[in-house]
Amino acid sequence: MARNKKDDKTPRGSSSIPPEVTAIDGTWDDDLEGPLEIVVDERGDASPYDRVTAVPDVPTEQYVARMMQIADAREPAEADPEPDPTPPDADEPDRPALFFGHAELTEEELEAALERPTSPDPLVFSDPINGPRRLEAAPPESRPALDLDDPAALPAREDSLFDLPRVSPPAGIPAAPPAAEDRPSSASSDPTVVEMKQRHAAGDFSGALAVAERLLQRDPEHDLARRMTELCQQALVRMYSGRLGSLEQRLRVSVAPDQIRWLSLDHRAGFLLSLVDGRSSVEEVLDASGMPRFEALRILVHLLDQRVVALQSPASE
Amino acid sequence: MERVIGIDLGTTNSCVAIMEGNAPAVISNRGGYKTTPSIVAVTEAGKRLVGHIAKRQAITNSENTVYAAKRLIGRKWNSPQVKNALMTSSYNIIEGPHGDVRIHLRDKNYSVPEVSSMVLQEMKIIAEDYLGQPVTKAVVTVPAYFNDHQRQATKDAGAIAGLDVIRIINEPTAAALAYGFGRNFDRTVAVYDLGGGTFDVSVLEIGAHGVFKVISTTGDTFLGGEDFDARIIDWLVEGFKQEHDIDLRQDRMALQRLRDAAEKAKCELSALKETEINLPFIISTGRNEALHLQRLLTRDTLEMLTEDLVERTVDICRQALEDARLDIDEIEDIVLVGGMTRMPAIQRAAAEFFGREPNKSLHPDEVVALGAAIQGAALLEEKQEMILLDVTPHALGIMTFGSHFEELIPQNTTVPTSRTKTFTTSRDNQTAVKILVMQGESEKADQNELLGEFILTGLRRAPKGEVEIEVSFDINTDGIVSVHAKDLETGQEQSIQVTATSGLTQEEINSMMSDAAEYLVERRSDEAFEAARQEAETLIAEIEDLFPEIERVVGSADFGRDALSKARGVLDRAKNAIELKRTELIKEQVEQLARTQRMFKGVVARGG
Repeated sequence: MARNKKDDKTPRGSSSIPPEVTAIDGTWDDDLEGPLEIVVDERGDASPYDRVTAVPDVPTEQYVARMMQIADAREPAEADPEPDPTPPDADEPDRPALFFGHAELTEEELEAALERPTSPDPLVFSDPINGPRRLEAAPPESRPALDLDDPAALPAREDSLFDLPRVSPPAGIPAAPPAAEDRPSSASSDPTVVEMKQRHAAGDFSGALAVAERLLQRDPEHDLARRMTELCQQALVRMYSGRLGSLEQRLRVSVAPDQIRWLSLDHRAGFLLSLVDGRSSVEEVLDASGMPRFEALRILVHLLDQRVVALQSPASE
Repeated sequence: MERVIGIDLGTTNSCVAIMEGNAPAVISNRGGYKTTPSIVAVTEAGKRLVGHIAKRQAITNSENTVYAAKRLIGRKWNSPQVKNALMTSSYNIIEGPHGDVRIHLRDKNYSVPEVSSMVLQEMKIIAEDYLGQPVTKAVVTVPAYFNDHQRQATKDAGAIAGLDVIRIINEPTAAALAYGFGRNFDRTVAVYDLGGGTFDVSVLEIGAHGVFKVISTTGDTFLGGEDFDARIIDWLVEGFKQEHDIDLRQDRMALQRLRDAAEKAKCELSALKETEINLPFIISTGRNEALHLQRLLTRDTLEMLTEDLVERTVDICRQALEDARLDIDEIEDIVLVGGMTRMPAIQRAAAEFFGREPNKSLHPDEVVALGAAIQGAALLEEKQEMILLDVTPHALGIMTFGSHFEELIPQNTTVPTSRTKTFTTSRDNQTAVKILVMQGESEKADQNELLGEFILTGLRRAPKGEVEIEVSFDINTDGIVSVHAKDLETGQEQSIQVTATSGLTQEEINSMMSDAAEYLVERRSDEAFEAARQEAETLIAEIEDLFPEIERVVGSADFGRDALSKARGVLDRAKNAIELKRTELIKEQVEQLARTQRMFKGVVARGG
């Protein structure tokens, strides 16, 4: 699986040139500049692979704890450049609503976001069918904040890995908030809905999904919970897919057969594990599972994290 | 050099073989298996699965997984076999526009030949991957009891898959061909074919100079290895229920695992006396715990569970000998076909009934494909020294007064053949007769299959029984039936050529062929992309691994930083090409990546 590395221009080690090194041929890649499309990220850099990845740099739990801490604290964190988030308060409906840990989304705001048509802003990924879009580098002042909570900005259905938008929760750096005067505000009285929105805003998609599922159990017609379920599943599918890497990699069981029964698994994980035979790829196991893709991916990543299964690149066989 | 492949299109498993030099050989699929399950599925995402991968999700996705399509191919919607399948199949079988059968998968209806064509296409791909060249011709085997409609439907399935089926041959004949290949003898053999879903017994005469003749064939289309698996599943389910009061059949995932484990245990018990069936986390209880299934199955227990099934095969063998009008001691050899014949109890039963040890020199699940490959090569080279005589699988005749069936060509008559009979009028002053051409073994015409009809007019007005009408049946080497009727007095004559149909129009077949060809192109394109992507990603990973070392060696110098920057550019372009799924672009980048890798390795080697 290819690894992305940040561009580090600081030279290391000795500054002298070893005498044995011959002149580097600088012409070997000059003839392929033109026709290729270089996708530019929102900061206008020509190195899209310096971008933040779908998987946060810190474990999800730590990230969520940090965001909740920021939300609870009244002062900005020293190392954090963003303004101090304001905790949700049902008694103060006029507080400006921001995104990503700055404040909660009110129910009306989220519903309005759900109904909002696809933003014409080229930075907002909207149509996975045509593949990744070329992003135009626009002047910073005309560039609105990337609204990752906007469901209209996310694909309406699950697509292949290569069609997925490449933007995901930044690692600890939320986008700048939109203008507060554009946002209506109202209070949500249901603490479960509040918790769901908080978790989603903090990037805890697993937690938000669990809460949404609880809401749907209580009220199967709960539109907000249903939509949140879709959003969280889509985000998690991207994260899980990123974690697994190429789906052509083979899966093998890492645990001895007589040790498997001592693991803490349920029957769905047991079923998925039974499909791992050392020859089948991740894609084949997902196809054979008969489960919704999100479900199968979640279980596979869990098995991988528990080191019950391991991945093997077909190229290395 | 053009090649002809031989395909055993089985009810549960298919196999493809080719002549390699002077001997036939089976071609393994990508997973290394010599047989491929004859199962087709469509996933929720609309992806087509064929073979092993389809089998592994057959229960969890049962409504959209088609198995045993061979039981339906070429049959009419109102036939008893289709009615039976409606009750037992988990997938949706519906009536087609021509009184034929269609299968509904996800949001589309497929004809049965179309489903079978997906299996044939898979075998075609296996052969092409092995040979490294396109394959367009095949010999495909069918059960000896298949009628003309079923044979034509199988040919249509081949056409849809992009294969010109140059010959359809009977499965027992193909097995006998492989058995007798390279030997010059005169022998009467019994072919005992117990496959995954069906059982057939055929008696053949193998003449000198390679003349093969099927004397009789009979069987049970619902008796096979899956029935043996079902007995093991029943045993496991009952045991678990007694222990935990939970019915594992209610959970699809558990049932899928049980089925896979049962088949595996059955196969293992052909070599071992006992085997452990171990299924951890087979089911979750309501108390947040998962239960395990672990049981020891012995060969004795399996034989006890399946004793009646084995006995049933012996009864059918007895019937086959009666139909052939032969005594047991006239059978000189027994050829075993089908994976189930590896079971010791089956071999014992066959040996006990026929009074001799079966021939085990051939792989039972490969032998039919090997025979088809032999026949294919012989047809390609037009070898006259190997004559394979086809026979009519069913009797041919016409309907007469009182809805009786008058047989002109008996069942198992070798082709080409020609028979003539004289008939008369049944009413006074009858001026026309309707000739209804039928195929089957029943004395009642309405229980046989209608192949075609025509009218002979201009008969002399006379009392019934006076006018003589001569009816001739003619079957050529390609199995085409021509029926000719002639008024012997006036010389007035009329005839038809009976063409079997599969229920599909030519337009439908052409459309399906186009769809199949598109699918193949898309699949090859995906495979080419995956191959290029893997190569590129391997090089990208190697280059990125070398980056720290390169930075250490040359990173401080201007030209070093410039080189590193250019290397990053190469990596970025390669990753971009992968993301855009542009195979040709990736291939171009692979060249650049390879140069970068060589350069980096050289720098590290000199500077390290």
